[in-house]
Amino acid sequence: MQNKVIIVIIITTIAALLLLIAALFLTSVIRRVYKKRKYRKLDHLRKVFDKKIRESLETGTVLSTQSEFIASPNSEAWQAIEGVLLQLIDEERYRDEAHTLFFSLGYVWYYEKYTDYGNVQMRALSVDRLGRMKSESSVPKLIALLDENKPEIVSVVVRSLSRIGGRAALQAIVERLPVILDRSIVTRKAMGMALQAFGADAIPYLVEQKSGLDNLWIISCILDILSRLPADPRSVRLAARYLSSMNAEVRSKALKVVGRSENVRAVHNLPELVLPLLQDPVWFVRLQAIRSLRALGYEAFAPSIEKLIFDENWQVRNEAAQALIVLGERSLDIFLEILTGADGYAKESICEEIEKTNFSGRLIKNLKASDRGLQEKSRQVLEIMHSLGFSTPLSEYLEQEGDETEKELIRGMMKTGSGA
Amino acid sequence: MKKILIITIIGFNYCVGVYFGVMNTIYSVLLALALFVIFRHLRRIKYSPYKEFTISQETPPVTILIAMHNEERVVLRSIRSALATEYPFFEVIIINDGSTDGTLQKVIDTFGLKKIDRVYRTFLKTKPVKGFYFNLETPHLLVIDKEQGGKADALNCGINVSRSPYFCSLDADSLLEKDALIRVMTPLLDSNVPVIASGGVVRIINGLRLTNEITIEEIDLPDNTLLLFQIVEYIRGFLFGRVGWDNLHSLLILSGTFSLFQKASVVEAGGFMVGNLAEDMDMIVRLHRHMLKKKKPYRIRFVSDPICWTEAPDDFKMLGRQRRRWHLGLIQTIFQNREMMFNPQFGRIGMAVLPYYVIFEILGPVIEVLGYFFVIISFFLGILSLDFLLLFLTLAIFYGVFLSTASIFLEELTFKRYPKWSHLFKLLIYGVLENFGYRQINSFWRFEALIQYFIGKRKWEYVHKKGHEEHAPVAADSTK
Repeated sequence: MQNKVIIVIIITTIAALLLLIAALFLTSVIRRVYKKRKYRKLDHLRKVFDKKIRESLETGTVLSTQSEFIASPNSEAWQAIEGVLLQLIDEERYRDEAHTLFFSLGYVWYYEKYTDYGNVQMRALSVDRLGRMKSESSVPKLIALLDENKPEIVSVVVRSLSRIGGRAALQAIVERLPVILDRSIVTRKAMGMALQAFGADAIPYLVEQKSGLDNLWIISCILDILSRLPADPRSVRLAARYLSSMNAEVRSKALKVVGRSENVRAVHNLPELVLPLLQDPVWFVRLQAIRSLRALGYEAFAPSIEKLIFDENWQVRNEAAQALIVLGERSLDIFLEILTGADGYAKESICEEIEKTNFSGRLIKNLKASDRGLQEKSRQVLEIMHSLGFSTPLSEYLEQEGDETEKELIRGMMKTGSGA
Repeated sequence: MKKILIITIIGFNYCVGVYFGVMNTIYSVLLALALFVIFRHLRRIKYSPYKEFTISQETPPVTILIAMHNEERVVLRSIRSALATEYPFFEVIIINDGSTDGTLQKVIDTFGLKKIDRVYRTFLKTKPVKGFYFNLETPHLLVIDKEQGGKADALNCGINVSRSPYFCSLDADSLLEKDALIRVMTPLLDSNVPVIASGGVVRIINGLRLTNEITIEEIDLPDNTLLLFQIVEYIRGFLFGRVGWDNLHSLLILSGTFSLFQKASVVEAGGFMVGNLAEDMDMIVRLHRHMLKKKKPYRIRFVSDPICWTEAPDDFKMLGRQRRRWHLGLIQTIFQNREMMFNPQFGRIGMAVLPYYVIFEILGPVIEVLGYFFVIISFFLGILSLDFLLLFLTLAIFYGVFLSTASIFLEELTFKRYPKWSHLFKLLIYGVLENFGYRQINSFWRFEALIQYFIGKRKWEYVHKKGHEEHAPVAADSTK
C-alpha cells in the first residue's frame, strides 16, 4: 500500500515535470516568435515615424499632422513614436516640438496616471519616462512623490526632476535633501549625481539650505555635492566656515570645496585658512589640505609640506611628495635635505615621485644648466637616487642617442654612486 | 547477516529518497526566486541609472586586476578588453606571476612599456616583486612582474599596488563586455547598505567570433560536446543558482573570473588566501565571517546582466582537473571556516548556508555514487523492483531536464545571448543529454576530489586551455 502511494507520487511528479518542461519549451518558442515579429515591426514603425515626424517638423506642419501620430497606449505604434520622440527631445533643435508632442499625443497624461497606480516598477518607470520627456507640467506631481518612503520611487523621482530641471524642482529636492539622506531613501551618490545635473543653479539653494545643519553628516553631504559643482565664491564662503568644524569628515569636505584654483580670490587669505589643517590630527584631513593647497597654487606652503614627508600615514607622505614635485626646481633644496636624511620611507617616496612624474628627465637636462648651483643640486639628487636603486632614468638615457659628454658625466656618476 | 544488510540498504534507500526530495525542494525554491527576481530586474533595468554612472563623477575609481601565468596567447585579449571598458575612472594592473614563457615580454612589447623603479609596500604579504612596467602614454596600465606565488598571491600583490577603493578581479583568458564593469558596480552605487563585493555572469568564450580581438562579431555555439554541456551548466549555475542565493542574501560564491570587491574590506579580512584552491569562494566566506564578527552591515551581491566571457576546458582530462580543483577548494574553504558552522553569531550563513554546502554540495557526490552502488545491490537482492528503479531514475532525469530547461528559459527572458533557433534547440537538447553521463562523470570527479582531500593530495591541478603552454604553478600548491 505504502509503495503504491510512493509510486503514484513519483508518477504524478514526473507528469507534472513533463508538463512544466513542455510549457517552458513552448513558452520559449512562442516568445521568440512573438518578440521577433514585434521587434521587426517596431523597427519598421520607428523608421516610418522617424521620417514622418522629422519631415513634419522640418516643414512646420507638425501641429496639423499630429493626428497621424495618435496611437492607442502601449500599442506598437505608440512605442515606436515614443522611441522617436525620446530621441528627438535630446536634439536641441527639436526639443520644444518633441516636448509639445509628448503632451498632445497623451504620453504625459498616460505616464502621470501610472505614477500613482500599479506596482512599484510600473510607477518608477512612469516617473522615469516623465523625466526623459522633460515634462515640466509633471513637476508638481513628481515633487509630491518626493515625500514617499519607497527608495525605488524617490530615487527615480530625484533623477527625473534633475532631468526636467527648473527652480521648483531644484528647490523641492534641496528642501527635502536632509530628510531623504538622513532616512537613507536615496544614496548620497544618487543625490549628488542628480544635483550635478542642475549645475551652478543648485549652488545658491544648497548654500542657503537651513534645515539639517545640525546634522554633521548632512553638512558633509552638502559640502561633498558642492565640491563637485562648478567653483563658486558662495560655496567657498560656506565651506570656509566649516574648516574649523569639530568633525573631521566635515573639515575634509570643506577643504575639498575650497581647494580649487578658481577659488584663490573668493575668500581673503584662503591659503592661510587652509594652512593650519596641515597639522590636523586626522590623516585624511591633512591629505586633503595638501591637495587643496596644491590646487590653490600656494607656493609658500612648501616648508610646511616638507614636514609631511615624514608623516605617520603613507597616503599623506605620498601626497606631500607629489606636491613638492609640482614645485619643480624650487623644491630641490627640500629634496636634498630629505634625501640626505635618515628616513628611508621619505627618501623612497621622493625618488618614486621624481621618476613617476618624469622630473628625473628635467634633472638630467639640468646637468648641462648654466646655473652651477642648479647643476650641482640636480647631480646630487640623481646620484642619491641611483644609490637608492632608482637608476632606470639614467640607464635609459645612456641607451638613447644623445650628447656624449653628458653621457660620460652620467656614467661617472653611476660609477661613484654605490647603486642598489 | 543478510537481514542486517537488507535493513541497512532499505534504510539507506529511504535516506537517499529524503535527501533527493529536500535537495530538489531547495533547488525549486531557488528557481522560483530566480524567476521572480529576474522578472523584477528586467522591469527595473528600463529605468536603471547605470548609463548615467558611466559619466558621473560620483562613480568611484576601480582597479582591474589581471593575474597571469604563462598566458602569452590570450593575455592581450583580456588586457585590451579591460582597457576598452566604459567606466569613468579606472586603472588596469597586470600581475605577471612568474611566467616562464613569453607572456611578460609580449605585454611589454605590445604596450611599449618601460621598467620603472617603484617602491613596493606590502599591506598583504606576498612573494617578492621583481619589477614594474609602465608607459606614460597608457597611464591606466601598470604591469607588475613578481615571483610565482599563485593566483591569490598575485591578486594580493595587485591589491597592495592598487590606489582605488574598489578592485575587480579578471581572469587572464577572459573578455569583459564594455559595460560589464559599470553594471557590476551599480549595486554598490544604488544601495544604502555597503556592498562589499559584487559579481556578474560568466559565459564560455569558445565559439565566439571576435573582431579586433575584443569585439564580439558573432555568437555561435562550439561544436565540442563537452563545451556545450558546460554552456548549459554555466547558464544554470549563474541564472538560477546565484540569483536565488543572492535574493536570500546568502551568496557564498562569486566567480573569481569576474568579481568586484571593496578593497578595504578585503584587506581587513586578510586578502586572498594563498594555498586555497578556490580563492574566490574562500574570499567571500571570509568576508562574511569578518563582517558578521564585527557586526557591520554589508551586502554581497550578484547581478545578472554584467557579462564576462571566459575560456573553458574542451577535453575530459582538463575538465576533470578543473572540477576536482573546484571541489577541493570548496571542501578546503568550508573546513577552514568550520567555526562558522551552526554558530548563531554568523546568522543564516552559519546556520543554514554552510550546512547546505556540506550536506548537498560536498557530500552530494558521495550520496550519488553510493546511491548507484546500493540501487544495484538492492535490485539484485530483490528489495527494489525494476519498475520502481526505472521510475525513480526517470524522476531524477526529468527533474534535471526541468532545471536545465528552466535555466535556458531564464536566458531567453534576459539576454538571449544565443540568438539563433539552432542555439535554442541545441541547448535544450544538451540540457537533456547532460543527464546521461555528463552529470555522473562530474559527480565522480567531485567524489575523487573528496577522497583526494582526505588522503592529503590537495595540489593545484593546472588546467591547460587552448593555446596555453603548460607549466604547473608550483607555488600555488596547497600545503595544508
